[in-house]
Amino acid sequence: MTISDILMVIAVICIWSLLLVNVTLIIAGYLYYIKSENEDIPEIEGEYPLVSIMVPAHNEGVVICKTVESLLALDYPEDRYEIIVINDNSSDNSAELLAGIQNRNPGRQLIVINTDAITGGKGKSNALNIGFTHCKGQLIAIYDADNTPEKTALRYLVAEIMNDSSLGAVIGKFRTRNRNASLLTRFINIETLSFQWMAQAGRWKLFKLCTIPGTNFIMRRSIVESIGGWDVKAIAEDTEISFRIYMMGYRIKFQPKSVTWEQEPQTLKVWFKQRTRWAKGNIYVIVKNIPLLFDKSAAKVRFDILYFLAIYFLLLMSLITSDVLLILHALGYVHTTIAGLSNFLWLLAIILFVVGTFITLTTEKGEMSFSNLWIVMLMYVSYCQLWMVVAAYGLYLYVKDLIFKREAKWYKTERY
Amino acid sequence: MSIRGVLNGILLLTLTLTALLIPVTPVQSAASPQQVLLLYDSLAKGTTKEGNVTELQRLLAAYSMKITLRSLDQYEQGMLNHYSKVIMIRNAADILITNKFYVEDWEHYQGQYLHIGYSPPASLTKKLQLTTDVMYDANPDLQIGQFSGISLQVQDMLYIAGSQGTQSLGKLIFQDDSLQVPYAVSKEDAAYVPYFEQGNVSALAMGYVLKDWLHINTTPKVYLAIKEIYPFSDLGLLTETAERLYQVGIPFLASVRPVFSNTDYPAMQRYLVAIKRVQSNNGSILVNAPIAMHSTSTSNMDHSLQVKMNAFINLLVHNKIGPLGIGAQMHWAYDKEYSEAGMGFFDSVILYPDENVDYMEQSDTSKSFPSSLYSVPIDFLQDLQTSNTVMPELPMDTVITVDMPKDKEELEEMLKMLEQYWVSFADYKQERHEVVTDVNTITSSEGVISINGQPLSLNYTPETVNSDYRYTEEQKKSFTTLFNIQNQFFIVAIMISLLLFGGLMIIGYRLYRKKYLK
Repeated sequence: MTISDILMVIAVICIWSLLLVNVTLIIAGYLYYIKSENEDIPEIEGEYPLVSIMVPAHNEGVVICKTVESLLALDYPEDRYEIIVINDNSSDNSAELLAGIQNRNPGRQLIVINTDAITGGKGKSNALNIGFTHCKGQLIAIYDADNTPEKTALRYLVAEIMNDSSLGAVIGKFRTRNRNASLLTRFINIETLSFQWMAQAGRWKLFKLCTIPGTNFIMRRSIVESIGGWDVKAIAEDTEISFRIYMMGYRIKFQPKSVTWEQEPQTLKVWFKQRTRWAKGNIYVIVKNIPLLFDKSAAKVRFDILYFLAIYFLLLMSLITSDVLLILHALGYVHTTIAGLSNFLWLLAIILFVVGTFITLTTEKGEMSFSNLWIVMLMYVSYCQLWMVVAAYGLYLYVKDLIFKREAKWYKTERY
Repeated sequence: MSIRGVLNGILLLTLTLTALLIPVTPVQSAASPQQVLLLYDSLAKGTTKEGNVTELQRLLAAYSMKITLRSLDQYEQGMLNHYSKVIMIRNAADILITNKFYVEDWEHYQGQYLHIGYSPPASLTKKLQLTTDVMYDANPDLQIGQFSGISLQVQDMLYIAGSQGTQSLGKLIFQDDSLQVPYAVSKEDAAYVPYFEQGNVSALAMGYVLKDWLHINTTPKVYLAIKEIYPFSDLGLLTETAERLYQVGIPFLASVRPVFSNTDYPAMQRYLVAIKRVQSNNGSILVNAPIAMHSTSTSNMDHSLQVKMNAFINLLVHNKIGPLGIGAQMHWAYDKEYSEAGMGFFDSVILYPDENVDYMEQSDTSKSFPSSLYSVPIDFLQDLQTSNTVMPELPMDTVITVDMPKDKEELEEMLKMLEQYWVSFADYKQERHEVVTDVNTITSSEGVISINGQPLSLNYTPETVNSDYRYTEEQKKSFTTLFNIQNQFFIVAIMISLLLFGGLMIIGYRLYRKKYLK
């Protein structure tokens, strides 16, 4: 028994355990899907609450018009919602375009806040804080600048949150608008679907927990006020605020019938930058909230923290450790004598991954197809392996920033 | 002192002196072999005579002689005094003896002398009244012993043109010249052979000459030996060969290659079973010397031969196989390490012609053995045209060697050849042989092989070898139990998950159809 043996054992146990956790989440998520299909959206009783929709944007000239127009077309009473676009330190023609929309819709509550490098330019959290100062609604909804929500999206979210006072926020589903643009976007499409149906729906079903995805969600204004707004240091402000909502004793619900369509990266380079940003951001949030693991009042949050810790640290470390050990073993530098990894088990695990992922696709029209089945199999050997690189690089960036005390920078995903 | 005392004293003195005067003839017990000094002027490399020195060594070994080989250049003063039998081979017509020690010692030498080749010494020429001549492009027929009409082809053949008062040995008949001359002549203890080469029947003739010169009276026998038997040989064919030979009533020897490692493998077990079957079909087992490869530096010399051979012989005994001797290349007898460590267990040998000479500690004096067979390949029989149907008696104990047949065709060919020559092969275990290891003593006598005094049953009981064998020690695995349990657990867990997923898929598909494919 050598050190490499022990490391290998730990790594393998971690990987397999997490696999089982994810399987459980998939099953739970799917059961929730079946249940939610048979349930109707609750009705909004009485007066429709006033909703402030915030859209932070930075150089989003390519997509912002479509987004705002979709928001203007929601089936929520026009006078019961306002749209606040925070055009944060944009150097493109966003300001002109937005002004144009305003001019074309004079009767609508469409506010455009243009900031510059001094007042703005400090990231999405800061932009939201700026926008919040103009919000009048008792409910705050947020949409990314590249999103085109379905007409019913907002109404469903409002209906849910108004129907249950224990809910601090309600999140909807996001879909990939440009899913057929490239193989990468097809991967992303499958990934986002399976993530939402597994991680979001599954966690909701089992623990009544969800994580705010950053877009197509609604939350109570009072919560924003009590937590003092968004953490400007957090790149992953959505994860950060989710934890804060839990800490306040509220729940976050997943309402899959509220759908928005967003633009996803079409090239690997853009995708990589985006994902490492997310990874770095999430790591920041997790590290920040580790003390909550020992906080009695944070019982609800523990699973999420542990889950994220497990994914970003343990799984990452385990996969890296086991892969490195396997490579070193093959090269003869290291000698592991562990009894080994059954090939049959490995094959079963791959089948499990494919089937589990494919199941989540049956929830959406047009996604339950043979071509998607092949795409899932292809994903296993390509896209999914990249995750490790993304997570590792994100971790590296986080550590680097920590050491050199760099400020969080809002990298903008390129639009097409 | 009284008279009686003086008389007693004189008697005692006389007896003592008498005793001293009686020449002490060394009793030629089986334990002390006869010694021969073999001298040569040149090894005749690159000529037709090349190899005749080694051939002579083999012939002498077949008569259980202890041979000391020396070139004339390296002759040391006084050597001749220690030998009563000296053989000189003069292969070069033009080389003069310049070693003055030899010349001096020769003047006083009184023992037996055999001269082969050119320039017989003056004393010999005088004794035998010898005249010699050379025949060019000679094609004589040789007649010797019971053999006749054997053809020789020699470019420049030295022959005895004339001699007097001598005993002739063999005859050379030159047809062209209608000339008949003796092959060799002898008188008292001196003998002269003008022509001797390796690779033709002059070896046979020399055998006769030596038999006469050495005064050997034993009845020689002929044996058959199968060589090139390896663990990876076709063992089925080997046992079939043994059975066929048994069926036609031919006893034989099997010279089996030893195995020193992995002796517990099924392959080794099969080899041993095959050897046992050979033994049960009247095959006497000999251990063939292993191929010796060693480093030339003395510090790296491997001295494990004795241990290995000992272990192999003991292994054979353990498997109810009684080896009776060793088959080795001739140079092994001239190597201190090989002869002691490898051959020291045995009193019976077959000395094969040298193929790959690789000495570890070369010695000029050979180890002699009470039983030593002169080996000739089966093709040799073709050179002997005989007038009788039955093969005539050869001068010394000879073994006809044949390589183990590679296929059934070769086996049939071998049997046909043996049938053709009508040789009466002897049973090796009829003679006395002894093999001694650290824990076992194997002897044979009058057809019975005994191991540590107990007779060995040669009957073969069929046995099968179990092929199940763990060849490599499985690396000690850590966490075996943990991983086994874990693997089982996860396989079950995943199977259950897949089943659940299957169920969900069915529901999901129905929902999908209801929602989207109406």
